[in-house]
Amino acid sequence: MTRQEITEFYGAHHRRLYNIAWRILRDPDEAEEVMHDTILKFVSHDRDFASQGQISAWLARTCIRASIDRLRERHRRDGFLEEYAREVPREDEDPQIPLPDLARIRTAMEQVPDPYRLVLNLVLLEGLDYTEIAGLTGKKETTLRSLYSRGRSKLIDLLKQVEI
Amino acid sequence: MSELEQFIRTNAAAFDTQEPAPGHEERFLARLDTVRTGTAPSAPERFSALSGFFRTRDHRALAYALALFAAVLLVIRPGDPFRGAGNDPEAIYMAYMGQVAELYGHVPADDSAAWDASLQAMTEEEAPLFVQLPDELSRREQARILKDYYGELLAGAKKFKYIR
Repeated sequence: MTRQEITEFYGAHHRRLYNIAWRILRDPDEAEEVMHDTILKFVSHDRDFASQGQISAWLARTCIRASIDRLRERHRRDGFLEEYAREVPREDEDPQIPLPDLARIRTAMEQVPDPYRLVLNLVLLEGLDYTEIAGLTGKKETTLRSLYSRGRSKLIDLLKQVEI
Repeated sequence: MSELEQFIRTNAAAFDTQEPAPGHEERFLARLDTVRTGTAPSAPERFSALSGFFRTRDHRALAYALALFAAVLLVIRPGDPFRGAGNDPEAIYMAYMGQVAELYGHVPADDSAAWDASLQAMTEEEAPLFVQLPDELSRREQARILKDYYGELLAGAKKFKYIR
């Protein structure tokens, strides 16, 4: 790729990758580094992709993996996800609430505590299934399901609070 | 999946609201330039042509060639990452960056995010030593310090090639 092509490629993909990394890391400097690393990795090697969709998917997975690696390094001492997954899920697993607007959901999502938000983001916003997330995080699917379930409950609680 | 979860999934792109800090593209292009300066052929590549020559000669010629080869090694010092840089601090630093860029090329394409991050953590300086050295030091003394320092960093980073 020429420098011009790389610049255009950067312009097309940087914002999405930055947001993926930011949602996981919540640190603008680290998110930018991961975004840069991901794009540099793509442009530094010859890769064959059949479609733009495959390129986007590769970039997203690489960015998520790099972000999780950094997060894991950050939380190495507290066991990463396990401690949070041991909480007992509540009984009212799937309460229906009136659908709020996007801005309110965004605000509530950002307030969901760290480990739950990570899994919520990966499932709902990045579209990963539990098997993929298990592969990326090295955690059991049961742990991830528990975290997702708790995260969803916390999100709904937050949305109710915002509503009041 | 609840209506809320479906709604979030459908509108995932609307959650990309964060913007990287100003200057992110310039910082990316600077990193790109650094990576792309590492295009010099490696020492093994340079000597592969010589090995072909040795295979085609009789023993006397081989002994002569080996002696010549040893003499060549003494002159060009293939194990010295800073050969040719002399006592020029900037040239030493550029030679270091070129070697680092070459190391990124040895990182396996699969699951490389963590390796890249580790390599970066080992080799990247927030403020390069070569611009921090006091002017009172002679260029020869500066060169000695820089070669020692960057040589140590490279010695550690090069082990990455052999870990996997």
